[in-house]
Amino acid sequence: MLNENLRLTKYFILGVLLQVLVFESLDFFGYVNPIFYVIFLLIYKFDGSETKFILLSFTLGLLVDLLTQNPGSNTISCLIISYIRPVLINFSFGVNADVSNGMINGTRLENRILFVGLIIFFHHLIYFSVSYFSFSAYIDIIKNTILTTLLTAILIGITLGFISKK
Amino acid sequence: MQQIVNALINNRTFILFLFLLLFSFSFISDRSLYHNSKLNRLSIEMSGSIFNITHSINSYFNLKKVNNELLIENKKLLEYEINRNENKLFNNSNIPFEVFHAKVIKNSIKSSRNYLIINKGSKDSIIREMGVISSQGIIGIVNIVADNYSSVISILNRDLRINAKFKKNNAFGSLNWNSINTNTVTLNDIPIINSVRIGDSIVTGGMSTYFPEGILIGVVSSYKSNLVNGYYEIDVKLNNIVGNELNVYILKNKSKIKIKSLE
Repeated sequence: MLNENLRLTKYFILGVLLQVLVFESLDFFGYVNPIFYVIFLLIYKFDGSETKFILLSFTLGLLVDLLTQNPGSNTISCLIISYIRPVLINFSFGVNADVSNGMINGTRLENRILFVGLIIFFHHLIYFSVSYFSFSAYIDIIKNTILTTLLTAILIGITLGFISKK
Repeated sequence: MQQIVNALINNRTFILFLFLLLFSFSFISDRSLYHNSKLNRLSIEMSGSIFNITHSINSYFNLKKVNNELLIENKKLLEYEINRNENKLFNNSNIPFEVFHAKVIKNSIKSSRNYLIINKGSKDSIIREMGVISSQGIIGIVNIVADNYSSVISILNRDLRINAKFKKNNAFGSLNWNSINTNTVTLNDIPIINSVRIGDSIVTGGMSTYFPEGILIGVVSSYKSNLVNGYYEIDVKLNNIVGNELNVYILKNKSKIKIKSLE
């Protein structure tokens, strides 16, 4: 339990710091920045307390918003993803949805890729929808969501690959 | 009671989520002017659609009253038309205004900052800061404009100040609501060298771009002179009952951009 808490704290702090200090100013293709802290939303235990997860995700988004001078898109996207995560876990892992550390081991690679893709895609879709907050900007929302999803997925895929090997 | 507590405990995750989501939206609205205005427009559009239903039902029962009001208004328009033809100078001295008609679908008078919602929005060429009047007097100024609805700061809102003057001698001052009585507003900044009598007519001053000059606001109901600062404090009884207005007119000042550029 203590180990689990330490692991969570590590990813929480690492996610915020890397996002604020490194990834927020990368500007790939001029304007695309990966959203790395999403890794926290992925590695939280599948059978962990939902209330605790919602509170932690909310705090994570709020911290990133405050530190990057963003009005609140990170908070809202983290919060909504934390609430719908159980549905996405069930959809992606099916019968293996009860494997506690399913993101690290004990599940099939295809399921993990699907889960990572869904979480990142929906997080980014909500993030950009809230940022633009206008139906008429749907082309920009979709374009940014797809580009940033690809970039974040590559980055998080590499990171998760290292974690699994360890 | 036990069942309510159980239901709350069972749905604690959803309640927590909802609470945090509301907090997040208030947070984003607080930090970003763009989101604030978008959320305001959304709330006007939503409350407009809801109050539109109750308004449709109420308006059916008020048909007789509205009919009478329209008859009186027609009479006034006819008089105005005759006057205008007789005196072309009167027409030329006014700033040209375009008039839009709208219906009030929500009207509050109980708060110290009252607002109205009208059933015209940006799709009907309504923009911010247009003056709103009724056949009896002034109503307020357009504040937030959504696609199909707009919110209007009522004259019964303590934040609103309107330029007004005496009809008899053109002494002008500023009018605002003292949040006490819904049919009385206060006229300030009239120097005590002017003579004031109970029953004197107060009209719009025409110094702002919201209203043309000379629209009747009300009559002086009481006044006291403040010898310390040299100004009167005049209570004006409104000519209209703002809470009862159903049909209003929105005034678009065609020369507003030109006037603003000179200011």
